[in-house]
Amino acid sequence: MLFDHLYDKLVRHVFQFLGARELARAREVCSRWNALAGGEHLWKKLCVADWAALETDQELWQLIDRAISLDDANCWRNMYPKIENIPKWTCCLQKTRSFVCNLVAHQVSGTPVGDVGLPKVLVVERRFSIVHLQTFALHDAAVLYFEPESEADRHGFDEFIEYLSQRARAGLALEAERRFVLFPPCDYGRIQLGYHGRSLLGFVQYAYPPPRV
Amino acid sequence: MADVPNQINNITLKLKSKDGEIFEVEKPVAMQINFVKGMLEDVDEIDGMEIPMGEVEAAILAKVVEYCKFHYQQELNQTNADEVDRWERAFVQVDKSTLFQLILAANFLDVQSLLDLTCKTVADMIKGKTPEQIRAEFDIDNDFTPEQLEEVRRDNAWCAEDR
Repeated sequence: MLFDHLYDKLVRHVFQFLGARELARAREVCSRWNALAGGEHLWKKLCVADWAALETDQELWQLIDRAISLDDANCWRNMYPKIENIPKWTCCLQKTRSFVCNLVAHQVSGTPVGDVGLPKVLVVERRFSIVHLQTFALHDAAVLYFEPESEADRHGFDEFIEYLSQRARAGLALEAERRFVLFPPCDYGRIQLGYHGRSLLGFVQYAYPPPRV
Repeated sequence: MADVPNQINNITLKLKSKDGEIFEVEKPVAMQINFVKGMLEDVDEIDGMEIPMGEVEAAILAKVVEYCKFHYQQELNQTNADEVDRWERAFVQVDKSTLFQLILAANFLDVQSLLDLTCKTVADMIKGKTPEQIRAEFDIDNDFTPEQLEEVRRDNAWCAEDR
């Protein structure tokens, strides 16, 4: 009775206050709830809240799951379970002594970064030619997808990608035991990782093989 | 000095419920109702005017007015967030029928914060319940065929461990 009085718009308004798992379970209540709680609008909101770039970067979808594309019906609802457990961290990106932007890093493949996460501040101290990425990267390195944390960070983020692209360089940030490599769109990303988009990728690894000279 | 805002506040509007009850409400309180605000934009002389509140009945309109009064006062007094939260939680402690009528009224009268509060309250009643418990809570018929339900459950395999 109660819900019969609410227009679809209002039922959706109620549903937007549910978490993803509650929303999924709401679909099992009756056919009307199945249609409304299964609606793409709500699932898109959940996805984008978790990973904003999903809305703007089609190529990212390929990186997460080749079987789902933005053109599919129910693509957002199908995408949510894929990203639910992808770990992410926020950190502050700096070049030597200067602030670049705040980042969110999502791990898309490789050895789990685990609970240690990423350092609060990533300082890119060195750069090397992206042609060496292939020799530099270990096959089990954790692969990261970066996005600006907020709109205010977008400008610094885009400039940093531009800065690396123009010089055909990857950036290197160091920790006692770990190496963080950040690289702009390049052949390594396209061929080795299958990412054809315009965003910043990176990897994390414990060993540090120097590029072959 | 204090007289000036008082004079403005002294204008009262007469909000008329569907069943004919009149609520005299200070203008700044009533202006939180976008439906009223929109209506006043087209009128020059508002003193003493009765404003019909559509399908909203007296019992529900009383709650809407109570809500708007609190929020008007809360903004004036800068009430702290915890206290607002406590007040709002007590405000929505009503029977389900009233709660759903409040949602419809908040939507029709366009009081966004009240719409959010009431919808969130319903969402909280959904949380943590199985589909069967949800049907019982809101008196909903399970109109699925076994095949349809099976299909949704297959979709939901990713969160099945919650069950």
